[in-house]
Amino acid sequence: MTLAEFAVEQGKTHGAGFVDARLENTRSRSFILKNGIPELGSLDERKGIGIRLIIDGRQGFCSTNNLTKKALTRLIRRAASTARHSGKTSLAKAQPVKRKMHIKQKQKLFSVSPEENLSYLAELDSVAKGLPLRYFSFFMSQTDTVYASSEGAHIESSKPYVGLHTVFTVGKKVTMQRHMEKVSIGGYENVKKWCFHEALAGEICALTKNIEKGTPCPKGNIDVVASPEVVGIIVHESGGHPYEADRILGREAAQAGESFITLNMRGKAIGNSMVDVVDDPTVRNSAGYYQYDDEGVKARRKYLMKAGRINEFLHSRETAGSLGIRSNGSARASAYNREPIPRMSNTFMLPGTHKFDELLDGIKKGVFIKSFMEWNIDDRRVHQKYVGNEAYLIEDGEITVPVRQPVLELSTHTLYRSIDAISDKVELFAGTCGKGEPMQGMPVTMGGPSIRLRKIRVGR
Amino acid sequence: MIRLLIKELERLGADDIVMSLHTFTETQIKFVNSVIATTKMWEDTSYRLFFAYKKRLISTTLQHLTKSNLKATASSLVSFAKALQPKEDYFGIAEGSFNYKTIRDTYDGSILDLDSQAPDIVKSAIVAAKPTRLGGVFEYGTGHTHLLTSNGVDAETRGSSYYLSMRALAAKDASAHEVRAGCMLKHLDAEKAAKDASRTALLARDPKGIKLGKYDVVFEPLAFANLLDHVGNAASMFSVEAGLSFLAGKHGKKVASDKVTIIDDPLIPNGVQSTPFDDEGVPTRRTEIIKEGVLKNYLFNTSLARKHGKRTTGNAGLVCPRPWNVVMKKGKYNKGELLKKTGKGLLITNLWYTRFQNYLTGQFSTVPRDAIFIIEDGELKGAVKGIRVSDDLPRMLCSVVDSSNESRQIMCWETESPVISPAVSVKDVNITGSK
Repeated sequence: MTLAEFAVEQGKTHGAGFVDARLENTRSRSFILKNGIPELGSLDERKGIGIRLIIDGRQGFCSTNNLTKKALTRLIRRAASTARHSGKTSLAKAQPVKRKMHIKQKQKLFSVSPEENLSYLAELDSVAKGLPLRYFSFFMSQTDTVYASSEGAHIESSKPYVGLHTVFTVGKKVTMQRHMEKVSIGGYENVKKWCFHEALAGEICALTKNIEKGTPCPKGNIDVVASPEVVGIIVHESGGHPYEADRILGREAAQAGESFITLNMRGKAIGNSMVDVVDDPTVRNSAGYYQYDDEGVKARRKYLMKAGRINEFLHSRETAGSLGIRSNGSARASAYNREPIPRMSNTFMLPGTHKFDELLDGIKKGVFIKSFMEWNIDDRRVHQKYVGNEAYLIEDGEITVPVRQPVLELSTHTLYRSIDAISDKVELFAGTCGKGEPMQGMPVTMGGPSIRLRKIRVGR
Repeated sequence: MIRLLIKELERLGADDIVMSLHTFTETQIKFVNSVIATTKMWEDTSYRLFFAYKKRLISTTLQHLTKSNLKATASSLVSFAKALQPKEDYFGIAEGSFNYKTIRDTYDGSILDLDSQAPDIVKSAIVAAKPTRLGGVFEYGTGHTHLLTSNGVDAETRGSSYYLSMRALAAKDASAHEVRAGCMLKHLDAEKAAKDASRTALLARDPKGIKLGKYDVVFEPLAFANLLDHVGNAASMFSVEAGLSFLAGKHGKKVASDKVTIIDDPLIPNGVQSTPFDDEGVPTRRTEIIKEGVLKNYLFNTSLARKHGKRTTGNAGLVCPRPWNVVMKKGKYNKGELLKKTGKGLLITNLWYTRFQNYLTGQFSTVPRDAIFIIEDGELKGAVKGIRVSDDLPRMLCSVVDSSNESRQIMCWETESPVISPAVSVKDVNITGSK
């Protein structure tokens, strides 16, 4: 019997009708390089268990890294006692699964030496060497999890994670800044696929040109072409978050907020009928990849927006249970010591049929926004702002000169209704999504094809 | 066990060894739609270790250190260190030993026995907030830290904390948020906080759009704390060196109006993050970051201080110095007088989603959340919705007109480190929106 199964049995002795446990062991290695100087190397191993129990319909959660049976017995007794104060909860039914899952690594992460990790960072730093302010962090980990439940589920999984983040400043008197991030779930072979050197060099060159040659951005109601990166943040913020069922049901009201969407809005038209937005955890090697969620429910693609209409919400067993439906496998916990809640995974707009150049056709004067820096949205996901970083003027169907900081500040309804053309090539971008309390930073991707937005307000 | 590992690492050639044992236990009651939804409990014990090996810096967290795995652990960490490159601008940790001040009101043993009363505290808040719908969390816990270094530090502290965060919702677009945080339960006024949130949420019903442009704005403590949190982080020398600070290159210069004095104070009673020593065991002290508008100090650990020819401010972070409790000095007017002096403008009660276009220039935007009111003739006249603050943080600090004579200790979803802020009035704030 694993410690996870021991915890499940302990919960049952306190009268719990449902217990599940996630026993997790994460081994990690990371490095920080700042302005070419190696700041720190870290080597960590974290083991712990998170246990959820429902007694007479009332829910409690507890976690510890003291992995003795004695400590677990005492903690579960305390959690069982406190859970009795909770209101009633009913989890949606789920098929208990018994599986062992390992993600293939052609080159195992921890077979790569620290020297090789640092040499990779040093090579990247040399690309940015002319910049006075540059910061790189590299992180890799291997998480082994045993999930067990009182319903008989037993899932053993092993998840390798590798990621890189940089923030750098271009220019001296006038400056521009840029964040870039890459994450893969898989082996070290993915690091080579990032082609980060080329991407970094391209970004530095583009921002330098923007500083040197950028012209003021035109203002007013004009046509905008948004790149996959910008489409990614748009769909994450206003095409993903509002579809999280816990927000719709008020469970995040005091934290990440609620949603403009209500339960009776399924089927309501919200965007152009050519727009489909999906959340898909099954994209291999992506930051949001998983086969079973953290409640043991099989992952699948969800159409959040289908043909421009609100279609499906992201559910945990708790939110699905409150609506009398099945979970669609969207419950995630950032670590063993966090409760699983509905989260995005890989959220993106599906491709259309246009070539990129066709999006530019017919635009007399407009703006192409390739990357962004500042963005935000209100907590009901209606009013959003995106400020372009690398951006260009479109004149008579051609991309011409760089423009400075185009600002999109518009409502969700206006945004999705203004889309009139979608390109045929999707790109995904890694990010960390924040939700829950205590905060659960969750690796996700966001993306889509390039899109054209007709006659939307561009400011600044 | 800590001493044994330090000794073994020294034997293997490591120096500047800082090791600490942290234990904490915490409970959270989460309530949703005026009902307790779940309870959560955490128990955690871990060793944190930092050391240098010929200027190569290593950090690690160890959870299961035993006599039998100690030598192997030390050996593998030193092997890892040997693979790294030296940090040439590293200048060591502090030399102990030190004497530490006792900080009043940072430990309340009654929090250990709160499990039986905590649900009633939450339920009384829920009742007090009626007729509004209440959501939030009530957290409480205790922690203990024992820190030793190879340079003679042996320091120990314990603390307790509570945190009540509540959002009252009167309608889909009318809400208000109140938080209470501290160490001593005697300061917790859950029912009053719930009533305040409820009253403000009810007042915020039927919000309207407004003409966009420049407004004089009074920010409630919860709102302004969000911005002060960014000022505190910008004061860290690590942020300055990484290009993540609008305070870079401004030492001794005017960076805010005369009305702005911002202090990092790790010694305040009832301060959630008050601590007698920092992460390398240096005794903490009050540090003026901005005094009457002039940037007086960045926040340093020992190594960064030596690099820049300064004294440590007791803000380690062994890699990244950080503020403990960011405190903005109070003004002389009560909130009513502050509104009257403002005359015409906006009252913003909460902010979230603060994001920067450029950390060096401080160009940013943030979204007013919950109740927003129009101020006319010093009175609140109707609620507002759908606006955003799109401005420069340095410009806003230079445009601070006044602050209230009452402060509140703020921790919340986006302001995870404590900030003690009064209400603050700022002139000509740029208000944008989706129209």
